[in-house]
Amino acid sequence: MKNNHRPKNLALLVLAVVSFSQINTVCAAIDPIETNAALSALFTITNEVIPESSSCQGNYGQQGKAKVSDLLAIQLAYLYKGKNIIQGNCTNNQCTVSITHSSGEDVSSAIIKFKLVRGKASVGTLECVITP
Amino acid sequence: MEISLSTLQGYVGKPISDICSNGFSSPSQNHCAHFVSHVHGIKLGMLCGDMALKTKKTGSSIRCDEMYNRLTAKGPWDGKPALSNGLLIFVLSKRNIVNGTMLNVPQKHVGIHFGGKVYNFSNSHHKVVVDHSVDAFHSKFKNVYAGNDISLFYGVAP
Repeated sequence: MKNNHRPKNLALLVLAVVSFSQINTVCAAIDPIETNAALSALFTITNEVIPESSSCQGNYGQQGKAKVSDLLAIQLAYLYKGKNIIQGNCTNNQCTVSITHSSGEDVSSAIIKFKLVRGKASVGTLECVITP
Repeated sequence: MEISLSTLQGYVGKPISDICSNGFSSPSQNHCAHFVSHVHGIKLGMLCGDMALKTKKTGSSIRCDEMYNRLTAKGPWDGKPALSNGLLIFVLSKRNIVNGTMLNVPQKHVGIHFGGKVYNFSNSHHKVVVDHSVDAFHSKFKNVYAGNDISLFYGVAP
Protein backbone atom coordinates (compact mmCIF):
# COMPACT_ATOMS: atom_id res chain seq x y z
CA MET A 1 0.00 0.00 0.00
CA LYS A 2 2.76 2.41 0.99
CA ASN A 3 4.71 1.62 -2.18
CA ASN A 4 1.70 2.65 -4.29
CA HIS A 5 1.93 6.14 -2.85
CA ARG A 6 5.63 6.60 -3.58
CA PRO A 7 5.42 7.62 -7.26
CA LYS A 8 2.68 10.12 -6.43
CA ASN A 9 4.66 11.55 -3.50
CA LEU A 10 7.79 11.73 -5.62
CA ALA A 11 5.89 13.51 -8.37
CA LEU A 12 4.59 16.05 -5.87
CA LEU A 13 8.10 16.57 -4.49
CA VAL A 14 9.50 17.13 -8.00
CA LEU A 15 6.65 19.50 -8.79
CA ALA A 16 7.32 21.45 -5.59
CA VAL A 17 11.04 21.68 -6.31
CA VAL A 18 10.43 22.79 -9.92
CA SER A 19 7.90 25.41 -8.80
CA PHE A 20 10.29 26.68 -6.13
CA SER A 21 13.13 26.84 -8.66
CA GLN A 22 10.97 28.84 -11.06
CA ILE A 23 10.02 31.30 -8.33
CA ASN A 24 13.68 31.58 -7.37
CA THR A 25 14.69 32.20 -10.99
CA VAL A 26 12.17 35.04 -11.29
CA CYS A 27 13.35 36.60 -8.02
CA ALA A 28 17.01 36.17 -8.93
CA ALA A 29 16.44 38.09 -12.17
CA ILE A 30 15.40 41.18 -10.23
CA ASP A 31 18.28 43.13 -8.72
CA PRO A 32 17.12 45.81 -6.24
CA ILE A 33 20.48 47.58 -6.53
CA GLU A 34 20.02 47.99 -10.27
CA THR A 35 16.39 49.00 -9.73
CA ASN A 36 17.55 51.61 -7.23
CA ALA A 37 19.99 53.07 -9.77
CA ALA A 38 17.32 53.30 -12.49
CA LEU A 39 14.74 54.78 -10.10
CA SER A 40 17.23 57.31 -8.76
CA ALA A 41 17.97 58.47 -12.30
CA LEU A 42 14.25 58.72 -13.08
CA PHE A 43 13.53 60.65 -9.88
CA THR A 44 15.88 63.43 -11.00
CA ILE A 45 13.41 64.41 -13.76
CA THR A 46 10.12 64.07 -11.87
CA ASN A 47 9.43 67.82 -12.16
CA GLU A 48 10.00 67.91 -15.89
CA VAL A 49 7.13 68.07 -18.39
CA ILE A 50 6.62 64.97 -20.51
CA PRO A 51 7.27 65.97 -24.15
CA GLU A 52 4.20 66.12 -26.42
CA SER A 53 5.70 63.55 -28.76
CA SER A 54 6.53 61.05 -25.99
CA SER A 55 4.57 57.81 -25.73
CA CYS A 56 4.38 58.59 -21.98
CA GLN A 57 1.92 61.40 -22.74
CA GLY A 58 -1.51 61.07 -21.18
CA ASN A 59 -3.99 62.80 -18.95
CA TYR A 60 -3.09 61.74 -15.42
CA GLY A 61 -5.62 64.05 -13.78
CA GLN A 62 -3.04 66.76 -13.24
CA GLN A 63 -3.48 70.51 -13.59
CA GLY A 64 -1.61 71.76 -16.64
CA LYS A 65 0.88 69.73 -18.61
CA ALA A 66 1.71 66.21 -17.45
CA LYS A 67 5.01 65.82 -15.62
CA VAL A 68 6.97 62.67 -14.94
CA SER A 69 5.78 62.89 -11.32
CA ASP A 70 2.13 62.71 -12.49
CA LEU A 71 2.82 59.51 -14.38
CA LEU A 72 4.67 57.94 -11.45
CA ALA A 73 2.11 59.08 -8.86
CA ILE A 74 -0.81 57.46 -10.65
CA GLN A 75 1.04 54.22 -11.25
CA LEU A 76 2.20 53.96 -7.64
CA ALA A 77 -1.17 54.94 -6.18
CA TYR A 78 -2.82 51.79 -7.54
CA LEU A 79 -0.33 49.36 -6.00
CA TYR A 80 -2.51 49.05 -2.90
CA LYS A 81 -3.18 45.30 -3.14
CA GLY A 82 -2.28 42.21 -5.13
CA LYS A 83 1.08 41.35 -6.66
CA ASN A 84 3.20 44.41 -7.41
CA ILE A 85 6.70 44.40 -8.88
CA ILE A 86 8.94 47.39 -9.51
CA GLN A 87 12.16 46.59 -11.28
CA GLY A 88 14.71 48.47 -13.32
CA ASN A 89 18.20 48.70 -14.66
CA CYS A 90 20.56 50.94 -16.60
CA THR A 91 22.85 49.45 -19.23
CA ASN A 92 24.97 51.47 -21.67
CA ASN A 93 23.17 54.68 -20.66
CA GLN A 94 19.76 53.17 -21.47
CA CYS A 95 17.49 52.76 -18.44
CA THR A 96 14.26 50.88 -17.93
CA VAL A 97 11.85 50.99 -14.99
CA SER A 98 8.86 48.68 -15.04
CA ILE A 99 5.89 48.72 -12.70
CA THR A 100 3.54 45.76 -12.93
CA HIS A 101 0.40 45.09 -10.91
CA SER A 102 -2.02 42.18 -10.80
CA SER A 103 -4.93 41.42 -8.55
CA GLY A 104 -7.35 39.09 -10.29
CA GLU A 105 -8.80 40.92 -13.29
CA ASP A 106 -7.16 44.15 -12.15
CA VAL A 107 -3.94 44.05 -14.19
CA SER A 108 -1.79 46.97 -15.31
CA SER A 109 1.74 47.69 -16.40
CA ALA A 110 4.02 50.60 -17.18
CA ILE A 111 7.41 50.18 -18.79
CA ILE A 112 9.32 53.47 -18.72
CA LYS A 113 12.49 53.85 -20.78
CA PHE A 114 14.90 56.76 -20.94
CA LYS A 115 18.52 57.51 -21.78
CA LEU A 116 21.25 58.95 -19.63
CA VAL A 117 22.98 61.92 -21.23
CA ARG A 118 26.21 62.90 -19.48
CA GLY A 119 25.10 60.76 -16.55
CA LYS A 120 21.66 62.39 -16.16
CA ALA A 121 18.25 61.15 -17.22
CA SER A 122 17.05 62.94 -20.36
CA VAL A 123 13.31 63.69 -20.41
CA GLY A 124 13.49 64.08 -24.18
CA THR A 125 14.24 60.38 -24.53
CA LEU A 126 11.34 59.23 -22.36
CA GLU A 127 9.28 56.37 -23.81
CA CYS A 128 6.51 54.32 -22.23
CA VAL A 129 4.53 51.18 -22.88
CA ILE A 130 1.50 51.47 -20.64
CA THR A 131 -1.38 49.00 -20.48
CA PRO A 132 -4.34 49.03 -20.48
CA MET B 1 -15.49 47.79 -38.67
CA GLU B 2 -18.67 45.71 -38.56
CA ILE B 3 -18.28 42.41 -36.75
CA SER B 4 -20.45 39.33 -36.57
CA LEU B 5 -21.40 37.16 -33.63
CA SER B 6 -19.63 34.16 -35.17
CA THR B 7 -16.42 36.21 -35.52
CA LEU B 8 -16.57 37.16 -31.85
CA GLN B 9 -17.37 33.63 -30.74
CA GLY B 10 -14.36 32.43 -32.68
CA TYR B 11 -12.10 34.42 -30.34
CA VAL B 12 -13.45 32.91 -27.11
CA GLY B 13 -10.80 30.85 -25.35
CA LYS B 14 -7.91 32.21 -27.41
CA PRO B 15 -4.75 33.61 -25.78
CA ILE B 16 -3.47 36.95 -27.07
CA SER B 17 -0.55 35.21 -28.80
CA ASP B 18 -3.09 33.61 -31.17
CA ILE B 19 -4.59 37.02 -31.96
CA CYS B 20 -1.54 39.30 -32.21
CA SER B 21 1.16 38.48 -34.74
CA ASN B 22 3.48 41.21 -33.40
CA GLY B 23 4.53 39.18 -30.35
CA PHE B 24 3.05 41.69 -27.88
CA SER B 25 1.77 39.01 -25.54
CA SER B 26 3.42 39.31 -22.13
CA PRO B 27 1.11 37.96 -19.39
CA SER B 28 2.18 40.82 -17.10
CA GLN B 29 0.51 43.32 -19.44
CA ASN B 30 -3.21 44.02 -19.76
CA HIS B 31 -4.55 43.01 -23.17
CA CYS B 32 -8.17 44.22 -22.95
CA ALA B 33 -7.72 47.21 -25.28
CA HIS B 34 -5.28 45.19 -27.38
CA PHE B 35 -7.90 42.45 -27.95
CA VAL B 36 -10.80 44.74 -28.92
CA SER B 37 -8.50 46.74 -31.20
CA HIS B 38 -7.42 43.66 -33.11
CA VAL B 39 -11.06 42.60 -33.52
CA HIS B 40 -12.20 46.03 -34.71
CA GLY B 41 -8.97 47.01 -36.49
CA ILE B 42 -8.51 50.09 -34.29
CA LYS B 43 -5.24 52.01 -34.73
CA LEU B 44 -5.39 54.92 -32.30
CA GLY B 45 -2.36 55.97 -30.21
CA MET B 46 0.38 53.48 -29.45
CA LEU B 47 0.13 50.21 -31.38
CA CYS B 48 1.30 46.72 -30.44
CA GLY B 49 3.72 46.82 -33.39
CA ASP B 50 5.42 50.00 -32.16
CA MET B 51 7.70 47.99 -29.84
CA ALA B 52 10.02 46.92 -32.65
CA LEU B 53 11.40 48.85 -35.61
CA LYS B 54 10.38 46.26 -38.18
CA THR B 55 6.73 46.22 -37.02
CA LYS B 56 6.41 49.95 -36.20
CA LYS B 57 3.02 51.50 -37.09
CA THR B 58 1.46 48.05 -37.55
CA GLY B 59 -0.97 46.19 -35.33
CA SER B 60 -3.59 47.65 -33.00
CA SER B 61 -4.11 49.97 -30.04
CA ILE B 62 -3.06 48.88 -26.56
CA ARG B 63 -4.36 51.68 -24.28
CA CYS B 64 -8.01 52.25 -23.28
CA ASP B 65 -7.58 56.00 -22.74
CA GLU B 66 -5.89 56.64 -26.09
CA MET B 67 -8.67 54.72 -27.80
CA TYR B 68 -11.62 56.25 -25.92
CA ASN B 69 -10.35 59.82 -26.13
CA ARG B 70 -9.91 59.61 -29.91
CA LEU B 71 -13.37 58.14 -30.64
CA THR B 72 -15.91 60.54 -32.09
CA ALA B 73 -18.98 58.81 -30.59
CA LYS B 74 -18.71 57.92 -26.89
CA GLY B 75 -20.27 58.59 -23.51
CA PRO B 76 -22.02 57.01 -20.54
CA TRP B 77 -23.47 53.54 -21.27
CA ASP B 78 -27.00 54.78 -20.55
CA GLY B 79 -26.73 57.02 -23.60
CA LYS B 80 -25.54 54.34 -26.00
CA PRO B 81 -26.95 54.18 -29.55
CA ALA B 82 -29.97 51.94 -30.18
CA LEU B 83 -27.93 49.57 -32.34
CA SER B 84 -25.51 48.34 -29.73
CA ASN B 85 -23.98 45.24 -31.31
CA GLY B 86 -20.24 45.70 -31.68
CA LEU B 87 -20.10 48.70 -29.35
CA LEU B 88 -17.05 49.09 -27.15
CA ILE B 89 -17.96 48.92 -23.46
CA PHE B 90 -15.53 50.55 -21.01
CA VAL B 91 -15.58 50.14 -17.24
CA LEU B 92 -13.81 52.38 -14.73
CA SER B 93 -14.40 54.78 -11.88
CA LYS B 94 -16.64 57.67 -12.98
CA ARG B 95 -14.13 60.06 -11.38
CA ASN B 96 -11.62 59.02 -14.01
CA ILE B 97 -13.65 60.49 -16.87
CA VAL B 98 -13.13 64.24 -16.57
CA ASN B 99 -14.95 66.55 -18.99
CA GLY B 100 -15.45 63.60 -21.33
CA THR B 101 -11.77 62.66 -21.25
CA MET B 102 -10.59 59.32 -19.88
CA LEU B 103 -7.62 59.65 -17.53
CA ASN B 104 -4.69 57.30 -17.93
CA VAL B 105 -5.34 55.37 -14.72
CA PRO B 106 -4.34 51.72 -14.25
CA GLN B 107 -7.87 50.51 -13.36
CA LYS B 108 -9.84 50.50 -16.60
CA HIS B 109 -11.11 47.78 -18.90
CA VAL B 110 -12.84 47.43 -22.25
CA GLY B 111 -14.81 44.73 -24.03
CA ILE B 112 -17.14 44.37 -27.02
CA HIS B 113 -20.90 44.28 -26.50
CA PHE B 114 -22.93 41.96 -28.70
CA GLY B 115 -26.41 40.55 -28.12
CA GLY B 116 -26.40 41.55 -24.48
CA LYS B 117 -23.11 39.74 -23.83
CA VAL B 118 -19.64 41.20 -23.39
CA TYR B 119 -16.63 39.64 -25.12
CA ASN B 120 -13.44 40.68 -23.39
CA PHE B 121 -9.92 39.60 -22.57
CA SER B 122 -9.52 38.06 -19.14
CA ASN B 123 -6.13 39.09 -17.76
CA SER B 124 -6.30 36.55 -14.96
CA HIS B 125 -7.14 33.62 -17.26
CA HIS B 126 -5.04 35.00 -20.14
CA LYS B 127 -7.70 34.31 -22.76
CA VAL B 128 -10.81 35.80 -24.34
CA VAL B 129 -13.96 35.22 -22.30
CA VAL B 130 -17.62 36.09 -22.65
CA ASP B 131 -19.62 37.61 -19.81
CA HIS B 132 -23.23 36.64 -20.33
CA SER B 133 -24.73 39.99 -19.42
CA VAL B 134 -23.67 43.60 -19.11
CA ASP B 135 -24.47 43.36 -15.40
CA ALA B 136 -22.13 40.38 -15.01
CA PHE B 137 -19.35 42.30 -16.75
CA HIS B 138 -20.02 45.37 -14.61
CA SER B 139 -20.10 43.36 -11.36
CA LYS B 140 -16.81 41.65 -12.16
CA PHE B 141 -15.04 45.00 -12.11
CA LYS B 142 -17.06 46.54 -9.30
CA ASN B 143 -15.61 43.73 -7.21
CA VAL B 144 -11.97 44.43 -8.07
CA TYR B 145 -11.71 48.18 -8.75
CA ALA B 146 -11.48 50.82 -6.02
CA GLY B 147 -14.45 53.10 -5.39
CA ASN B 148 -18.22 52.81 -5.32
CA ASP B 149 -18.67 54.63 -8.63
CA ILE B 150 -17.45 51.98 -11.08
CA SER B 151 -19.36 52.89 -14.23
CA LEU B 152 -19.88 51.85 -17.82
CA PHE B 153 -19.17 53.94 -20.91
CA TYR B 154 -19.67 53.18 -24.59
CA GLY B 155 -17.60 53.94 -27.62
CA VAL B 156 -18.35 53.45 -31.32
CA ALA B 157 -15.39 51.85 -33.06
CA PRO B 158 -14.23 53.86 -36.10
